[in-house]
Amino acid sequence: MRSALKGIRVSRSRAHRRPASGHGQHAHRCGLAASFRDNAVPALVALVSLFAIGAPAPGAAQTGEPQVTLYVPALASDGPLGLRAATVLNLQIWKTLRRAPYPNPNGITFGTGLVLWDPSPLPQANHDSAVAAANVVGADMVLWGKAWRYGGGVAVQAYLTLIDAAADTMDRWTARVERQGAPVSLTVGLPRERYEFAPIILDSAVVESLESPAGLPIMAAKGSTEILGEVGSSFRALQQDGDWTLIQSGPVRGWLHLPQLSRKRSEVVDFVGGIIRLRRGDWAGAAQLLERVASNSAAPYPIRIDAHLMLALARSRTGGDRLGPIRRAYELNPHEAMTTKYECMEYVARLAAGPDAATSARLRQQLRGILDERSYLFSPQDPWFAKVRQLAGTRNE
Amino acid sequence: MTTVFVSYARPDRARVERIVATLEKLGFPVFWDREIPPGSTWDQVLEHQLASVQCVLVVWSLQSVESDWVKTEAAEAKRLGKFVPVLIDDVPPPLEFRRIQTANLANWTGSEDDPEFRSVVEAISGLDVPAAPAGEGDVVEAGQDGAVEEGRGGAATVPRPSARPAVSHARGAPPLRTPGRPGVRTRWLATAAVTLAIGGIAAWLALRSRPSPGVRLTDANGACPTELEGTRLTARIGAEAMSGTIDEDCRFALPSSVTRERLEQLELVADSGSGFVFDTHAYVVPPDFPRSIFQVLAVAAASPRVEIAVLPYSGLNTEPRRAAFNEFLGILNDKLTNLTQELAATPELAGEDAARQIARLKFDTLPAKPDERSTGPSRAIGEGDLSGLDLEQKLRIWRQRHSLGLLGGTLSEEPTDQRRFQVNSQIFIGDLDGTPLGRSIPLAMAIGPEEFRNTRDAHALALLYALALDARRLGYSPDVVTAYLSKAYSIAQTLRESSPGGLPDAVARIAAQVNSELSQLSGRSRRP
Repeated sequence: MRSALKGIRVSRSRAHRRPASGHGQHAHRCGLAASFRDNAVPALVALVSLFAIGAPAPGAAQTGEPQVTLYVPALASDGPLGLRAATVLNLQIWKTLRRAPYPNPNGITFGTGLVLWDPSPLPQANHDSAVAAANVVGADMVLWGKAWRYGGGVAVQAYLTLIDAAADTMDRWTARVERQGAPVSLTVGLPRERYEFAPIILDSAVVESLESPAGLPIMAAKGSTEILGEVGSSFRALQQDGDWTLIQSGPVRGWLHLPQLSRKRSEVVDFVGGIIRLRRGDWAGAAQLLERVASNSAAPYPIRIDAHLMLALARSRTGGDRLGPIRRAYELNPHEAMTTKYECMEYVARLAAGPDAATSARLRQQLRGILDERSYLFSPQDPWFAKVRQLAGTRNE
Repeated sequence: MTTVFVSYARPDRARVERIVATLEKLGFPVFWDREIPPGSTWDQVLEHQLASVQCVLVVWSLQSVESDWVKTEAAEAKRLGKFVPVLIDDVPPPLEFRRIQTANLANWTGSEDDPEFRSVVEAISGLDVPAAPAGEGDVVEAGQDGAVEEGRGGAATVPRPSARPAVSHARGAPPLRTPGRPGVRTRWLATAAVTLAIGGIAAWLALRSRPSPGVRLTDANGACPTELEGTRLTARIGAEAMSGTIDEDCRFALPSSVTRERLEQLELVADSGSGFVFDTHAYVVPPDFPRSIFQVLAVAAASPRVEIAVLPYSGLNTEPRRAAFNEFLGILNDKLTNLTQELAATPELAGEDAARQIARLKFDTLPAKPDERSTGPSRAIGEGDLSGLDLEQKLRIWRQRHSLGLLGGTLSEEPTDQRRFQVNSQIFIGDLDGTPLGRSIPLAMAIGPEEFRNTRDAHALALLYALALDARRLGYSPDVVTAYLSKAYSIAQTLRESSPGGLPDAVARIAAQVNSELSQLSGRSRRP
């Protein structure tokens, strides 16, 4: 790991899901990351450079709420383009970290979402390097990538690496079924850990803007043309309002207009924001973003498929139709083992609801049908598959 | 009548059988079944057979030109002056045999009157009688070491092993279409032949009584993988080592010092690059070992093909072209790295077999030829690149490097816009694909920001397809093959949606083939 990260103290281990700090405490106290906590006062959201502050990561808190950390190093590139493009993505994702409603009569809590910003790219632009960096800074997810000069233009290729997705608890769907007098539990987690987004082809005007000495200008007011300074590698984001973000960069405080990187709507922000929401326990918010990804035909199939599956996962907490999105995922690619696992999970969840004997028999029959038809997707030694087979029972039962 | 020994590659057996049947019909005794008498090793038997026949008919084909065993037999036949080559595929014979006239039976219909076949018969007949003593022949004599010299009417091999009687006519390969000239059998030659025959019989009898151990290397199903043939292997027992090649029946002779007691020390190591590893713990030792030769079974696990060998693209003779090519290769490299890491995190590919395959995937860029670095005028597209190689050359590189695929092609400006470039790649996947897709996958893609994904992912699609085929060749379980194909399926579907004008033909063909493979896998799954 590069030396620049050495000074950062990580106050928690990834192996244990972090509980968030108590109400009324704010992420800016750490001086390290952008965060939104439920019930937090909007102005107390901070986004600063890792290097500028070098302070410890947010401390563990007391309430047992989940805390999710996204690490966003600069995109690898020649020149400042990668850094600035990553700044834009970073702030756009930060804007998706919504707060719990205020007032909050139902006591809704979302835990904490953090965005760690790093003005240096990963040592190597690949998933393994992202995992290594996440281990150093204590992140749960890394959004990283590279800005490519290609064929006379610039393409931003972003990737998402999830860490220890299987160890998470907020993003799991579990059902417990009584089987021959003994409880059997079945779980699915996030569908996969490594994603490649559709390349974002930067408009030439955006390239010109991101490469200009002015970089990302800080304006005196929203809509103003008066430039106060530039967003450098050290800044804090204070407030969001539509496409505008209130920034503190050194002594300069002003408004930054976030440009659209390309004409086509990218799935990066919605998908990453959706997963953060899911892992924070903001199920409804996650579903909202994931639905957008699922219907984005420009997104790669694996992203759309998993958006459907995670939508079902979110609905396992909030209620609502789960089989619909699972079937749509199946239509996109009928040969994904994980989609079949989710479909099986749906039938097991229905069995877990304790239906009458006839319904139960029908559900088991449907489950057996799926398993017989799609056994080619699984290793005969797959323990998950074996467990579902056990739950499905035999025809003579 | 001339006794003919036929040297061929086993996969060609059906085609060779027709030649054998016709020769037998014409009265030639033909040896072509490689039976090994109990107690003798194959090389001993071969030596005996080659010594006892008058003619060795070497059948060159796509398979046999790659067979070390056939090449060894051909070389020995050439050295003995008994070499008659024929072609049954349109392939050039191995380099050292190219100067010898070779009858082309690639289009032979089986007719005895076919001029090419008649030339073969004449060549065989010409070897019936050893020629006149030294000095009477009409070809230039070679030295005592059997060197090759240019004779009249074409190249002829003139073998003169010092222990053998001198032969002055039709040594090596007699020029085809030239009937052999009857020679005079001298008394001393007859004596030598009788002595040789008696000696051979005696040797053969001796071999029968002296058991020699050996192994037969199989895959996990007990079958002989055709690719094993010709693989160089070293057998070690303690400090003792013996090297050799595996024959076409997957047999390999062991040092005679191997005993049952010492068998556990046996270690079989394939030469690096051969593409095979041997599980030396998987022997099944028959009760009568070592008396029964070649009865010890070992599992030969074919190693995965993991290399994409990038051959020099042609057309890289200007700085803008080289820059465009480097951008193209850069995104392919990046794709391979991250695709590999994505696959490694796929649960269905987490097993030992697939993990071994995935962890070693790599691009190897083969060095450019000097003329590729020149700044001279553009050469014709196709020259010097993958499409400029003939099938045999491509197969040879693919096999020798044990590559998953060879990537090559051309780079040029777009005809309609000289500021933009296009890449015409060919991905050669050798023998992996037995389907209509064929061995070469052509991909013509533009190099521009809007085509960033399609250009890169079309290549990734072909790579994943090849990985799936290799996984199937290796006998990996259906879920592993499916995981590769499923990934390919998703890429193909994404490409389809991002190609409003429809998929390019070659990409559509791969996509169709991926669908077909997946349908077969899912269909098998449904069968009771």
